[in-house]
Amino acid sequence: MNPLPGLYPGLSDLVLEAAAEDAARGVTPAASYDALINEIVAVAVRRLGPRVI
Amino acid sequence: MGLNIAVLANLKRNAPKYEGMSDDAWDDLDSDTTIDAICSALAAGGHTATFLEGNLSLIEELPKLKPDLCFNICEGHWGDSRESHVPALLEMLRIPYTGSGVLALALTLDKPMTKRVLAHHRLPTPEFQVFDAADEPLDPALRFPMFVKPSREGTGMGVSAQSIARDEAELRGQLRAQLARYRQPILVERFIRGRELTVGILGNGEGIRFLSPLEVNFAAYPDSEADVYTNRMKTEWAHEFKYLCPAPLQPAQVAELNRLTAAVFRVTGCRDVARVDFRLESSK
Repeated sequence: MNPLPGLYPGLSDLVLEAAAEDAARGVTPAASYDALINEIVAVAVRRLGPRVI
Repeated sequence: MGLNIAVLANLKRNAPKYEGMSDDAWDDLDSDTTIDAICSALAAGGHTATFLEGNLSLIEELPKLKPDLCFNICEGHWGDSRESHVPALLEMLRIPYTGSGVLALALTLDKPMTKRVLAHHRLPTPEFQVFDAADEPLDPALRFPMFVKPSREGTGMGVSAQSIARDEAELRGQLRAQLARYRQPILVERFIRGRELTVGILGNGEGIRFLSPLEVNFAAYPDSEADVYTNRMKTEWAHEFKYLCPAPLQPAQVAELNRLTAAVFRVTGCRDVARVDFRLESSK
């Protein structure tokens, strides 16, 4: 169980998992990484609601 | 709407040095490559990103920066709940942050405590015992081979082929070595021979999504690693990581892994993002 999974581009497990899914849709690893990081922000913002936005 | 985001992390190059530190000390800390990539990704998402080292300087730096949100990946440096230190400080400063909170980070850093919570919820986790000394009596219910590792480390620290103890002499030897090296309680579990898988999870509540399961391709590694996801594979050999993603699994197996991932995420109180690791027994 790791709530702070590594985010090293192109190497960390979570990054590779996201990239594998995105590759099937023609998304490059760099774009996949950007999307992963911004998805983490987006889910946090949804959870936090008015505290952030 | 673009946010002013502080990226908080502990860089390996900024880590404290101390006498007697092990070779793998701070293996779980981050690199400039990671921080640069996160800041660049956030900029691409329309945000303003500023990196700050996750230490006591945050008390002065954060009020100056006035971030809307902190992107927290701090591992911390000291103590048995070090990953929760920065989130605790952020809560004192009333600054929102990404990821899990104080309690979940303190709990999940401690593998035995996490296993107790999982067992309480009848989630599968190998039988175990915690040793504070190498000569403590062994629980007669435990069976060899066993697996020996530190209670509160990440990045496979203390995990090698030698972590597999086939008899009591090997177990006592590993306990002595790891207690001396890591200076913390040592976790001993029944060793599960089989495949190593990991599942990423993003979101909260009803809005969670699972990433494709990733399997460590043990067949591509030398026998010296004994089909264990070792510290050497995670650090020294990280740039040649051998993996299968999506892992070759039946749909029912993926569904079960996702169910267990969501359950572990929920009962440990995690938020936003996490990774859950599995050993799939050879017979399954």
